[in-house]
Amino acid sequence: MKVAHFDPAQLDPQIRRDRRVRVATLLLALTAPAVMVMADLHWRTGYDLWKVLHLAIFTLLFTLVALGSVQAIIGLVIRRRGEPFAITHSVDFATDLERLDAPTAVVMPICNEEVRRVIEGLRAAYESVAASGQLAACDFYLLSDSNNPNRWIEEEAAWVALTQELAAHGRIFYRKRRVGINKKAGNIADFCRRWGSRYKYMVVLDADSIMSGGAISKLVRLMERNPGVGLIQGVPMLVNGETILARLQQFASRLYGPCASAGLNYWTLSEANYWGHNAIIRLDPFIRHCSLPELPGDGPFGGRILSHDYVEAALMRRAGWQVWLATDLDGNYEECPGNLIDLAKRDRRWLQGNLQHTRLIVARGLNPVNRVHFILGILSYLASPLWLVLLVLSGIIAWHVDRMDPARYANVGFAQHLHWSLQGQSITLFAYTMALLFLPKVLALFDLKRRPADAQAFGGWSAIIQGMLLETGIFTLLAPVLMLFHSKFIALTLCRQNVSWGSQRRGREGAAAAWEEAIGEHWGHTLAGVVSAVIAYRIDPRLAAWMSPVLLGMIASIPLSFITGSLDAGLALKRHGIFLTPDETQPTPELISVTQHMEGVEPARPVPDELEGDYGLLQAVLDPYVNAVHGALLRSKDELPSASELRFETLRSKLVQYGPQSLTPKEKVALLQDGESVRLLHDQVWSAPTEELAPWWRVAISHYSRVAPLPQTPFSRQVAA
Amino acid sequence: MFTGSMKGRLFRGRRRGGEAVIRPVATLAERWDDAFLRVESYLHAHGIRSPMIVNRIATQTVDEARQAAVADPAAEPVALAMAKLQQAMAHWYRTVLGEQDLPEEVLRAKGRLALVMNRSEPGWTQQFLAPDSVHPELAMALREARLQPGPEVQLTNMPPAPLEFMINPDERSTAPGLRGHGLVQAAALWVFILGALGAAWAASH
Repeated sequence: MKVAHFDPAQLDPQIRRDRRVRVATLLLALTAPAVMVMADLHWRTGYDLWKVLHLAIFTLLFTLVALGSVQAIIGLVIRRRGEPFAITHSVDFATDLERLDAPTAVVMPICNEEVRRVIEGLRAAYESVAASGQLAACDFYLLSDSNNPNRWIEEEAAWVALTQELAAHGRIFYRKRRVGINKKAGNIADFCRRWGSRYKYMVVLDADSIMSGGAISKLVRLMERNPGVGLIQGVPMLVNGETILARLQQFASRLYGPCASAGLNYWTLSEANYWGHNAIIRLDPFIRHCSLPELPGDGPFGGRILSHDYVEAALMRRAGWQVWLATDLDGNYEECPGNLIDLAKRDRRWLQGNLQHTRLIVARGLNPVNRVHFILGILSYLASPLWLVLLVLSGIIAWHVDRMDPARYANVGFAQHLHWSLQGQSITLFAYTMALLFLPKVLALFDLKRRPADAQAFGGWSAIIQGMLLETGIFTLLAPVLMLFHSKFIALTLCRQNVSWGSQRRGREGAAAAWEEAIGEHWGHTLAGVVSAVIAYRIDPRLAAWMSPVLLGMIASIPLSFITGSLDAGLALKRHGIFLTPDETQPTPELISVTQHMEGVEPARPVPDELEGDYGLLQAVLDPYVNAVHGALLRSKDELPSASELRFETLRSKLVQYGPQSLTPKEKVALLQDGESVRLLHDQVWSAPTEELAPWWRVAISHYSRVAPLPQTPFSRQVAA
Repeated sequence: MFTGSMKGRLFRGRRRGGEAVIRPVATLAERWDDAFLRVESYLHAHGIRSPMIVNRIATQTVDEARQAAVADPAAEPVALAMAKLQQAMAHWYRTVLGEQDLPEEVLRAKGRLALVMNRSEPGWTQQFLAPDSVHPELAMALREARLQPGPEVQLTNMPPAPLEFMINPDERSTAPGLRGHGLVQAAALWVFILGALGAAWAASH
């Protein structure tokens, strides 16, 4: 495929306009007939308030379904013909091999994430950049907001170990904020304020991102070539999934994603969005124009902006800088939640952030396309309660219709010409909706048909079809559960219940969604499913049959959640070649590196149960090296007021005599943030006579003992007694 | 939960109502055992794996502590032994790092940091607290060890972007609108689609 060289600065606004008109026209052409048939359906049985509301919601939801199909149709065409207006076509990567000298920071904001995985992602990026020969211009930053002492201390030690292993002192940096103001956006802003002026570009990674040196170099080259571009968002592939749910998501995104993202790029062009990571940002305009303001008021819609990425893209665009989507950037990956509950937890964070964007839709000076991004983001979550309301309204309308005389609607409206029964018309509408829902999947297969090597990398056509059917079946059952989750989250948000930003569990951790957790989270869904099934059956058994996929998903939510989050089941499917992706069958060196290092870690000596909760504190105090590193990383401060010194002295004494259980989490963090306390505690605990130490410390010190415990024999038991 | 080694060495177990009650030992000999173990554990925590080295340093440390205990019999053996070990470490770090002015506790923390930055240096454990001089290469490496959490800070102002929440009707959009020829074409097409559907509706209803 030969593609013309493209200069984004010369992009004709008429092209953007024409493309958007085409998308809108296609959307109208697909949506309007369905809305009309639905309107006719209601007309036949007589309009009332329920039906007007039903038709309005149907129109909105059908438009969203149709938009997915429109993007997939356009994406397929674009991938066949070639996209002349792709940002990646502004540089000929095959010939542009010059050494890059634009100072670039690769930043990875983290917050209580699994440290090993974070470190391996960073290692892979660093080694890959080094292998690409572009290391001289790149620095790497771990920007931590972790408030869990265990994670915090582990991060510090892992960072030092990594810099030693890679001989990357002065190249990989670690910054821990004392107070995590404004979450991730605040973390990035903190970096920008401290070191932003040293760099021209910032590549933002997520805690689970993996990015190759090739991808980073390409992004930098694209920015260098296009000085009017402020941000380029890569489209990361989902990888490293092990549970059914994770593997299913990565299979679906890998298979259907290329057409969808090509379709998205078709109409967004230089007004694309930012997804918060796996993107490159021009720092100067970002610092000048993209610092997030607080929204007026408080509660869920006011205060600090939770979902920063869309807003930053809008601010960048408002300042006149282009924002592009790089749809064909290889070597760009991320991971996804491993079970349904983690997926819901993540969605809850995103949902509140997106709902907060409601106010920004009318913010002055923003580009209309950014307003559309806000609206689509809001609707992606608002669609759930709307589907729920639509289902309930459908039940009410069916109940009304069931009590009507069939002769009244036998031969009116379109039925006069098309000889539609009421049921036949409903089935036609349903089939059309399903066709549009599944069209992107079918189109993805057409797209793949032209790429036999890619099809082989998915495990061959048989595996693809099996995977697709299974994915469709599982998602059909999971969709109503997510619908209930989202509806509940929106209700909580509207009731001004704020979201706490915990870290999500992924991969192996995610697979451990226990039955107990599944029952605790899903019993309400099961109950709702059973009650709905009974009501639907009482109205009309045919209605219950129609709704059976939705009802079944709700009723079976507990086992579904457990099984789809199961590591064993996911790996079994992998062994059978189901849900394989090219990133599994032909992994890149970066993916291999992460996998090998994650698997190659020597099993650590098990930590006694009673020490585990405060293991970070234990290491910071007892371990000579962790203590030294932690103390060195704490900001040196001027002399403390005597009241503070006295407070710390009291806390230290309590900690030594009575153990960590005697302190509140805040007190523990306060001690760990005080350099002098950290140093003094090390000497104090190691030098204290055994009887002056809390039992917890005695066990902790024995953890460092060189002498192995005696094997149990009758003699040793006798001695102990 | 206590490990077997602690049951055997640090504590004496008794039974009360069927449950093991563990309390610290009391005899002087056992207190010195405790001190020896503490020194061993501390060296082990430093990553010194060689039993011979650990034993040599621990024996020497406890011997010195015992001598000091003659002058101060009330002192706790663990505290005495650990104080001797820390003095020895401070002395070694001072010699190796060439730092004369730092307070002892700061020096020890700095020394440990230098060690952790050079743990891959071969044979450092053999030289740790060794009476004879340290290999110059190791000394150099330890002296040059620096922890660099970040480059020099260059503070930049990042003022919040102003946001106003009413669309100004006079505001000219930065995005191209549907003007001129494009608008006519698009409008014509949309009118055609809606018109065709409207006609179908009118004919049937």
